[in-house]
Amino acid sequence: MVSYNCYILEINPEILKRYNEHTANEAECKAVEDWLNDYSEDLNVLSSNELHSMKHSVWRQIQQKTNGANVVQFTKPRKKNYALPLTAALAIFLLITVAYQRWTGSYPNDSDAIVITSAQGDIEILEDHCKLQFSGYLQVFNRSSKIKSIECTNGEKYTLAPGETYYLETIDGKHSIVPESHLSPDDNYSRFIRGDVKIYPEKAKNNV
Amino acid sequence: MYNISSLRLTTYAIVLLWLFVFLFVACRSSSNGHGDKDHGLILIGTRVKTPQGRMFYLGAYQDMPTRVDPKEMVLLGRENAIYSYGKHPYVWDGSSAILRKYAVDNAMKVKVVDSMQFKNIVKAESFGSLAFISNEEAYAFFLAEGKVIQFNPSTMRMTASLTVPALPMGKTAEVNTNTYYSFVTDDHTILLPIGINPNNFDKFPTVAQVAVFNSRERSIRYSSDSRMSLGYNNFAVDILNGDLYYRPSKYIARAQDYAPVSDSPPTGGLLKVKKDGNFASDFFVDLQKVLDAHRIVSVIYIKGKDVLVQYIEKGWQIPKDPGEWFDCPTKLAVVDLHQMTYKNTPLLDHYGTIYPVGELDGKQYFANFGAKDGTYHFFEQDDDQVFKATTEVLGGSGIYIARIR
Repeated sequence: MVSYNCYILEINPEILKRYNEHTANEAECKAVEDWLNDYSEDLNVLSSNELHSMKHSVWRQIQQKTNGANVVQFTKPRKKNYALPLTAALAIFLLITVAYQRWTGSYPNDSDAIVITSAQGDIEILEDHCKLQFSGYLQVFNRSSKIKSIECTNGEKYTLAPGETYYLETIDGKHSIVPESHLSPDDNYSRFIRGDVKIYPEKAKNNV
Repeated sequence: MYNISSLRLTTYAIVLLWLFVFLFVACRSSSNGHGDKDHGLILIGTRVKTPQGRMFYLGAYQDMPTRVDPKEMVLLGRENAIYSYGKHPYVWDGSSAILRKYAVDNAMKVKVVDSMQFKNIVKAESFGSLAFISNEEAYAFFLAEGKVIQFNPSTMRMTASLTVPALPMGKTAEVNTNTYYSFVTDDHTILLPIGINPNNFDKFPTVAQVAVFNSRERSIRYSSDSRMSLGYNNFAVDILNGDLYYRPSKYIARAQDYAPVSDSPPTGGLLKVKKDGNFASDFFVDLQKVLDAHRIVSVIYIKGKDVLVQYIEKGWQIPKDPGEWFDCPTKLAVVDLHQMTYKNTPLLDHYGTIYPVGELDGKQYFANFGAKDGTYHFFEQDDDQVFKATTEVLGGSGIYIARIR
């Protein structure tokens, strides 16, 4: 028998057996629960191997019951749970990442090139100025954030504002350029893109 | 008895309850933001300036929003034409020659549900609009190369490839049917306005022309009228009765300013197109003469006898560089077709240029570009007010509006 003055009742195998079998009275239940919640691990209390194993037995029964009810397992001894804050931090990080991607992802990435579209596809020119020879109707897009320029082989030069799109055309053998901002959106002028273009700078990347 | 589990259960139950409440409120607020779904959904397309050039976006709403933001819409691409039929949006992607079918989910997100590849069947650049007859029958027109593709919109499978006579003027100039729209009459005749963007002004078009496709016989014919030249984006619908008119085009007006030809037909007129695709022989109005204008840029709407016309005043000095022509100063006037008189209206002073983008619940909608304050809007054509700005468009112009059910 073990006596421990913190408990009103003595904890013994019979009381524990009754507790597990749900036949213990209210005072016995309180004594057992106070004893279970005592983490001092006082060796004086646990001098008996039998009592020690009984304490584990009680915990095992509680765990079985709680697991059986499909609730989270109560573990003993209580350890600090690092998983929850880590999961929360990860979730917040993911939310911020998704929000950022949503915010910025609706626009494609920028780059520092002039993009010329002919019937053959897109050509990117990385230089600030280039000379070109063309036929037909081309789209010219200054994708960079700085002013760029193009020069036709007949000597006509055009300045391209940052982020602006233009259409190059030839009328009666003379080139002209039309800013897209002057054209009505309901006119699908990009459908008329045709002809070919030859670029003279060194840094031209053909994406065809 | 020992109460550990019930304590934990209570905590988790509260957390779960809060989560449930949060999700429920989020879903409800999302729904409330768009209104009642029973009335169908409003589709809105915009064309927005992005670091990658101007891009098309599409969004779905249950009520007319006060503002549309590309961040809340789906990015379509840079060369698109938007259509809708039944409860689905359909988007032609000219850069990849793919027709995509979309659906709007419960969270009001527009998502691709199916697609059709045309790359190995036709040339993407000859695309000239879709026309829907039923849930099982629709057509894609490639008349510049003499092809019509019949497909089933439900299954998104091609059902026939038809070889038809190509556009009569297709090989001499940049001619094609309009990319953005077609008209289907009650007897399932499909009318396609033929337009031109002439670079070579020696080949100035001398007739107005409409492609008429008979979906029952699956045949095509071309209806012409020499009282007007070929336009571009050139149909206008009478708001009051749905009558179809062949309207002027700024592209051909510009061409006329630089063309060496002198005996070309008027570019600034108005013809009436009958349901069978023929031009009405008893109707022609030379708007340029009525307004004593230098050129007619566009007819924005027709409402019974009233026609809203954008024009260039007489005396304007034609720039030497044709590239500067589109920056011309314009005025807006309402022409009375009965009296053959006109009255200038100051609408353009605030909104810039206005153009039609579609119909919603029996009302015509318009969008603008070139406003002094740099803003973009959708406008509802109202009986009491000529234009009522209903929705601000962030980043660029409106391009499409329709209701799907």
